[in-house]
Amino acid sequence: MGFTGFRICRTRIGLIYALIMRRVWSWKNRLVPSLLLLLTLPVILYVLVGLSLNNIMKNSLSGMPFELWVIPGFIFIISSMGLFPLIYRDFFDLRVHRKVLAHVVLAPYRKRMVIFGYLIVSGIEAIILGIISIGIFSAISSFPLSVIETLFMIVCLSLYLLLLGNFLISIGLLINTVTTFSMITFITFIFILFGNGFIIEFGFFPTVIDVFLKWQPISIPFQVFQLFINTKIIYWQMLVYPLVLVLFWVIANTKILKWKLRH
Amino acid sequence: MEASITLKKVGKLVGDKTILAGLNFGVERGSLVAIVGVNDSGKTTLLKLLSGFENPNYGQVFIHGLDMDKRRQETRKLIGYVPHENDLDPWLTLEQNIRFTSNLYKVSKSTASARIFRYADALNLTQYLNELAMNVSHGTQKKTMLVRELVHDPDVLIMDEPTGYMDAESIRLTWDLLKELKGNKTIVYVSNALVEIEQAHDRILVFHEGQILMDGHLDKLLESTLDYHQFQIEFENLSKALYKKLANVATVVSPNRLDNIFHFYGRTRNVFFDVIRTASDELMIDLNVKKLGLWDLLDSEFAGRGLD
Repeated sequence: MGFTGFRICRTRIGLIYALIMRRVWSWKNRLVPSLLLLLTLPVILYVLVGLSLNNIMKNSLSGMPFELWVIPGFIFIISSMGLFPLIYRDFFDLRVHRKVLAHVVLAPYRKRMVIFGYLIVSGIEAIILGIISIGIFSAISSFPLSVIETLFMIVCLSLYLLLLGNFLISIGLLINTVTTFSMITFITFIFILFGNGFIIEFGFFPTVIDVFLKWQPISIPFQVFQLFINTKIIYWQMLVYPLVLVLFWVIANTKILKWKLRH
Repeated sequence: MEASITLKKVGKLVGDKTILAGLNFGVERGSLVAIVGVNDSGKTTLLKLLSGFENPNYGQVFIHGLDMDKRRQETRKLIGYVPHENDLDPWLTLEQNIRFTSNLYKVSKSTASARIFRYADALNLTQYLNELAMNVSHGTQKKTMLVRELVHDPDVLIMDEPTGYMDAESIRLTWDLLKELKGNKTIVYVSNALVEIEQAHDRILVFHEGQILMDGHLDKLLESTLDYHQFQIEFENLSKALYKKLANVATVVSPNRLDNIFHFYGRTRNVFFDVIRTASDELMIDLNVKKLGLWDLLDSEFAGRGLD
C-alpha cells in the first residue's frame, strides 16, 4: 500500500514537474510582456477601482474598512486573471488546434492525473501572481493584512483557484468555438468580479440573489476568509463543501476529457 | 519472430459508420510497416488505435503482448506517436518541446541531452533547436516531432506521414534515420508518398474501407500485376466515338481518358498493337508504356475490383 502510494506520488510529480518546467520556459520566452502585464494589472485595479470606490464606500455593511475588504478581493481577482490564460490556452486554444493536450494524454498518466496536474500547476502560478501583487499593493498603499491573515488568505485562495480552475477546464473542454467561448468568458469575468463578494458585498443584492451567491461554491472560500478577518475564527466546516466539490469536479472533468478525446 | 503489435478483431465505429471492421493482423518486432490506401479508408484511425489515442469499439490491441486497454500505463511507455499535423507548443522552442516530453516520460536530463544531440544531428535540426516552434517551417516541425518521440526511446514508433511537408534533403535524412532505427524499433507508418514506400521496400498493408485488402512485401503485392503494363496514347483529337471504339477493344483493361490522352492497362504488350490497329487512321502525338507500380495498385479502381 505504502509502496503503491509512493509510486503514484512519484508518477504525479513527474507530470507536475514537466508542466512546471513548461510554464517556466513559457515565462522565459516572453518575459518582458508577461512582467509588464503582471505589474500593470494590480496598479490598474487599485487606481481605477480601489481609489474610486474607496471614496464611495468607506466601510462594508459589516463595518469592515473598505481597503481591508477590497485589497484581498483584488488579490483573488488578479489570481483569477492569472489562472484564466493558462487553462484557456491548454484546454481550449491548443486543444481545438490539436496541440499539446493530445500529446500529454498519450503519456503514461491517468486522465485524472492530467486534470489534477494542470490544476495544481496553474493554481501554483496563479498563487505566485497573487503573492507578487501583495508586494505591489504593499508598495503603492498600506497592505491591510497581518502575516497570519495573509497566510490564511492564501489557503482560501488555493481552494478558490481549484474551484475556478475546474470550472474553466469544464468550459474549455466543452466549448469548441471561439465566439461561444468569448461570450462565456465575458460572463465568467463579470461573475468573478461581482458574484463572489470581491468588490460588491452580497448584502447589496436582493435577498434571493444574496442567498444564491452565498451558496454558490466558488464564493465560499472568500466568505470564509472574510469571516476569519471579522471574527478571528476559522469556519472549517464551510470549506468541506467546496473541497468535496473540487474532488468530484476533477472526476467530472476527467470524464469530459475522455469523451472529448474519444478515449 | 516475436510479435510487437497484435490486433484481434478490432473494430471502430464513428456514429453508425464503420471505420475499421474486425481487423486481425500482427506486426513483428523491429519491422518497418507501411499502411497505404485511399483517403478515408481508415488508415489514420488505425494509427490512433495503435498509439492509444483512441480506443476500439470492440476487439483488442496488444503491444508486446500487453493488452492496451488493460495495461494502459505500461503500453503507453512503449509507444511514440507522431501525428500528421504539427502538435508542438507554438510558444516553446523546439528543444523545450522535446525536453517537455523527456520530462513527461521521466528521462534523465543527461540521457535526454544525448538523444537530442544524436537525433537532431541526424536530421540536420541542431541549428533550429532554439527557435520557437511557431517560427520554423512545417518540415522542421515534423522533424522535431520525430525527435520528440525518440527522446523517450519507445519500442514502437507510430507515424502519420513521416516525411510530410519535408524538402528532399529532409526526406532523405528522415528515411536514413528510420532505416537505422528499424530492427531496434517497430515502425508503423501511414504515407501517401508511394515512391518512398517503394524505396523503403518493407511490409505494406493496403487498406480499403476499414479492411486490409493486401498484405505483404512490395514484390509480393506486385506479383499479381507483373504481366500488366500501363499504356498512354495522346491523340490530336480523341473524339467520343474514337474513345468508345478503343475502350471496346477486348484486351483493353480499365480504359480512361484525360482530354486527348487515352489511358488503359493490358496484360501483354500486344494489347498496344490491338489499339494502334483500331486507331490507325488517327493522328497520334505521344506514346507511353510502363510497368505497374504501387501507385497503380492503389488506384481506387484497382482497390475496388482488381485488374481482372
